[in-house]
Amino acid sequence: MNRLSLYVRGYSFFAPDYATPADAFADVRRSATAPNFAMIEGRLRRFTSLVTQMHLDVAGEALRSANVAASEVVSVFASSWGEITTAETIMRSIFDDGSVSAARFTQSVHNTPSGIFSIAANNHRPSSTIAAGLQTCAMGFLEALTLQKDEGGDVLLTLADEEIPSVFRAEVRPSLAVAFVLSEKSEGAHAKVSLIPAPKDGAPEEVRVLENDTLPAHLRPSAVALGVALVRFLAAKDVTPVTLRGASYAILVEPA
Amino acid sequence: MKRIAITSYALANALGSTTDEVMDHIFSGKTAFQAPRAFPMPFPTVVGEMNDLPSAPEVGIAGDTRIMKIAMLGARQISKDVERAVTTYGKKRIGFVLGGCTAGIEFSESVFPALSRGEASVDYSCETQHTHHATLVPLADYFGVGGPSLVVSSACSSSVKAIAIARRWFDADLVDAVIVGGIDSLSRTTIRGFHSLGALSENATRPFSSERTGLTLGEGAGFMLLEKDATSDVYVRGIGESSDAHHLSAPDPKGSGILESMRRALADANLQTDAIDYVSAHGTGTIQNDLVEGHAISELFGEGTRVTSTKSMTGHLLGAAGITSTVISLESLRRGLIPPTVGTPPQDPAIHVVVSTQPEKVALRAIINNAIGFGGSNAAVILST
Repeated sequence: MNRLSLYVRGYSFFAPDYATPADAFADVRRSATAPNFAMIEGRLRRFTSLVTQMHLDVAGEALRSANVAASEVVSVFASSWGEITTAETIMRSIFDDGSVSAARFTQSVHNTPSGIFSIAANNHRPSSTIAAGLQTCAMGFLEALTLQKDEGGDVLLTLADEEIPSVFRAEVRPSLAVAFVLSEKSEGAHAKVSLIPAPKDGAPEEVRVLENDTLPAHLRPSAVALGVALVRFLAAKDVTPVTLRGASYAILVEPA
Repeated sequence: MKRIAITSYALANALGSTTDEVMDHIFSGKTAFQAPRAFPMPFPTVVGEMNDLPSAPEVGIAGDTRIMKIAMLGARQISKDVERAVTTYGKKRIGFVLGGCTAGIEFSESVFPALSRGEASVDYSCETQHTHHATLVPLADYFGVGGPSLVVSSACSSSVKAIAIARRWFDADLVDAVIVGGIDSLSRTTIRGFHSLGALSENATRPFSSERTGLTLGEGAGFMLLEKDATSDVYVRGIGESSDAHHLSAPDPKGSGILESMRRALADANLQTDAIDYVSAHGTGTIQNDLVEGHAISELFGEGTRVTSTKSMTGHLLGAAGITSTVISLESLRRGLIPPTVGTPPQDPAIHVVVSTQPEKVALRAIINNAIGFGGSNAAVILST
């Protein structure tokens, strides 16, 4: 395996119910706050779901903090559940009166945030939209590292999931979103992110492992929570080496 | 890029539940459209619907869903070759990239009225029957692979984007082999949604026709086993991706996005335009898509370029569309036979390509296959002998 490394130049966090990643960990809630998705205007805002709004909020903030142009990055939008609220709204409408709003249907696809981001930023570069259950965070970093290797430049990675409508009877998890801007440039970087081989079965871990089981109970079901944990480390300037474990690889996050 | 061997492949859709059945229909220009049976609609339309789907007990509770019944028809066909790859490389050196749009939405729709009424007796798990990972995890387990796995969901470009991701994993030396796939099922959401957009044809779709009125939806599964250092008679040679940055559901009228993805695929393959024997178009049969894509193809490859759209026979398989036309393209290379586009005549005179309307026997070297999705997501893959 080739060791691929990039530097975290910018990052951001948004949750309607939590002001900071630390609050998310402690489950200290605030009055629900709407995301800032000012980067999109007019008709595009219509029918935009919370999960798309959150992707765009954290994307804009992370790019600003990295001082990187939105039009220039390649991008990875990662979400385990995607447009789940839009799916519910459409189903309800189908069974209520048989109608489906064309505008809502257009925004029902998993890559809605990617499409809206590309339009808002006039970004013509490749963009991936992925899902992998609780592996979504690790797979997001893997896709970001390998996409950047092939395409060059800076890469934007966003992770977001919204609360799942109760009708679907899924385990409760909070709405959360994070974003990272990764770059080959180390100057001013917050951390270094690398793709490394997973430890052999039974071998001792060289660094601490960040996985859902280590999170507070209310965050464990969330595919985004590991990303929140990383932002928490970065915000606290507490970047002791940590890995996100993938199936046959790991993502190592360490001081820049 | 270093070429990647395609060592096994499979299709299942309305044309047949085995690859051979599908190919027999494709290369003889047959369609299998019908009025929706499982999803009666209050408006006229036809679909490429798979009837009498067998159960899929191998994948547990997920096997109750329509999407996984369809997926397993494809997956079973390549399982022996995957088993051989697992023995050769070890399961952790085999990745899995699945393209898809709807996942288990159809299953959730089927129980939604009962869920809405709060009926506790409904046998339903959103986590394992609705989500993308509800398709990914059982399929990875079924194949017995343990490398990286993810779903790429960029609407109708998904399963060509899956090939692009596999290629990145090869480049990073993460894997020795990757299963790439695409699956999608019909659903009330998609049929009614495309109807609300005015994109659905009442009758069988007629790509590139001057009388085309829209697309015909279908459902199906496609899989390919890619191996880095193997030999085969067909290879992935190049891939290109781009974003339109224009509109969420309509193509950029200038066609710059699809043009860019085709250009990038050619550059990636280190091929000139004259090395491509024909274009396997996205070819949905909508007014705008065919016009824009046709212009992009004639601008890049020249007027008179041979083009075909297999959606005229399979219907538009959404997340499975790209892999389906890719597998048909590789079979086309093997047979030296261009599949026809059904229903085109009279061809739209504003589209300056030559649409193959009959099977054509030609010595083939390389084919480019386009995939275009909502969100302005474009991908093109080049296959060669």
